[in-house]
Amino acid sequence: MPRLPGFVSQASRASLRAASTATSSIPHSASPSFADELDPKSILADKDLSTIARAIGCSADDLTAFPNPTVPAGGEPLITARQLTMPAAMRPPFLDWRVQMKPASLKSKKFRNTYLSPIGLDGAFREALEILGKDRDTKYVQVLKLQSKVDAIKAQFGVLETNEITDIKARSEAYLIEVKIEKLRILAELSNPEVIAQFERGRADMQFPVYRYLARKKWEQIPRAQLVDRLENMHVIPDTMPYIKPTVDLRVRFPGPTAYWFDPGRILSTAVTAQVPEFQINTFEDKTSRYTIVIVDPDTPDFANDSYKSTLHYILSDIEIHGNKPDVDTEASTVVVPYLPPHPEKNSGIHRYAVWLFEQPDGERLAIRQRGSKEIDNSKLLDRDEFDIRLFRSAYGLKAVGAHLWRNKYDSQTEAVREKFGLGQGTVWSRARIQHY
Amino acid sequence: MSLHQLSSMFWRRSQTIISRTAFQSAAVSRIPQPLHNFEVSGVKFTHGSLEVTRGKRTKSGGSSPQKIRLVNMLSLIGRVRKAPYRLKLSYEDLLRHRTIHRAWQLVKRQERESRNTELMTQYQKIQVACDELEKASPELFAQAMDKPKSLRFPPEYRIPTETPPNVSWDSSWKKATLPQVK
Repeated sequence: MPRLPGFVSQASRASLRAASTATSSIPHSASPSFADELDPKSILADKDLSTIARAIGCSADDLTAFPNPTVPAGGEPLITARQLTMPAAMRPPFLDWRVQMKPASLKSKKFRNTYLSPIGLDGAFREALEILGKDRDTKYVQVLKLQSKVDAIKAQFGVLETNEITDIKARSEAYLIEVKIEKLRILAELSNPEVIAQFERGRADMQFPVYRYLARKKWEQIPRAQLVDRLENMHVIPDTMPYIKPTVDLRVRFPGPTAYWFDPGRILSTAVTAQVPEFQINTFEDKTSRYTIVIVDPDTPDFANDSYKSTLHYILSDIEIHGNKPDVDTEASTVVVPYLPPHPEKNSGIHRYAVWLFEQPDGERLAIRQRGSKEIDNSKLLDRDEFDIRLFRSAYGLKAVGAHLWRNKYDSQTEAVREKFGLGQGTVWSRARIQHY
Repeated sequence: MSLHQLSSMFWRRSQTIISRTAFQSAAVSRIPQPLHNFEVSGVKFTHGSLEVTRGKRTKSGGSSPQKIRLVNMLSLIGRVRKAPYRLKLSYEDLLRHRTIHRAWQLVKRQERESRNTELMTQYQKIQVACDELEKASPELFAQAMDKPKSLRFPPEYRIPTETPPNVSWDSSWKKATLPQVK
């Protein structure tokens, strides 16, 4: 369901159509400037929305999925793309610019009826829409131009996808053009007030690049900075893994009636963490790839060496994530090492449980990838008691892209958890008095 | 509450305001405030804060001229009511306002960019012309490239303009002569 409204003007639709016809008939090497080809007569004749749909990046059926109620049956529709992209039921009345009405965002009836807009705002806004709409249309014309270039390259090699192109040079060229197209699509919609309104009201549709971009920016503002701050201040970096700049938003929660996506670093009850956690992975990209989640506890006391060691709690691999669907399906993924509930021993302090998210190489299934001459000790790779996450990462050729963290300590529920999962009696640590002679 | 107490209160308050503005968000030692709430002639003092009630009748209340003067002075110092009211825009109008701002920014950017490209092409044309001159006549080129070594700023320098002057050449112009020092 497309929720990308538009204010594509009639003139722009003609320009888009001109662009598509020009590109289909003339080879792209001799592409003319499309601004010269604007014919005002074709504006009225234009009823084809497929070009607009192609420029925006959705199908024409999506645009026409919701009939426009203002058009009578059998009548000649004087349509705009915006009207079509927004079904009447979904169209928020506060965004219907043509109708002068009281703002719906004011909940109180008294305020709503006495509210007055600043004088001249409406006229200036209409003018602004026109200016922004023109800019947006030029960007979409550029998109169509570049799209035809990519299509020509694909047709040359007889493939449908960019990564199927055999020639490296042509593939990289096509890839760079596609990156440019994505950027243009973001820029084209970034000033669209309806897009901003939809995003701010939480109605973002992640299939469109502009919403992905806005979501990523929002995540980078505070949540990512907070995550990196907690990881560094609590020394998860470098105690478990070296520094990374997260590119993927990993969210964790524990199931239950009060399940919530908690902030990194929270101290949770052992009763809560006894359940297998649920994950969400927001990649902010329109791609499909596989991920691995590893949970380690670097605070297990190592009495023999007078130090601490890492304990492996969970490995979930082959998590397939498509761009628009962030939820992790545990049943469709592979549980390499089943979940071990945290059960800190008494007086062993607060334990950190670092959740690391790795991207599997080339979107393939998890497999050992020998690198260099150094032999990997396979018996140590998945050992719960002596787990080395850096060794694990390098052995499987993984790339760390995201992280999360929670903390546990010995509490009133720990013994019950130990009993329930048969974890035995834990050591009770105590300070020994050292005699100095 | 005597006038003396009130004036000392006023002094403390002004000190607090000055210290707050002087070290914004820095550690400001709070001056202890009186414990009881009290009200004098339109000025309501509460524990640790101050509120000036404007528009309240002060004349018929039997207030002394000193008190009225003090209230006026306080109203000048108080910064809270000095700021103009914040514009109350509904979400829709705020969004319109933001859109207008973005469009304005876009227009300004387009102006700037077109101007920059124009200047760039002009500069490139100058470069090409100079290269041509160098090929045609190295002597003339050397003369054209010659920079005046005088440290004095030439008074006959014209302010650069975007368009050529209406009178293209002033043939009656003569170099300014400095008055001779005797």
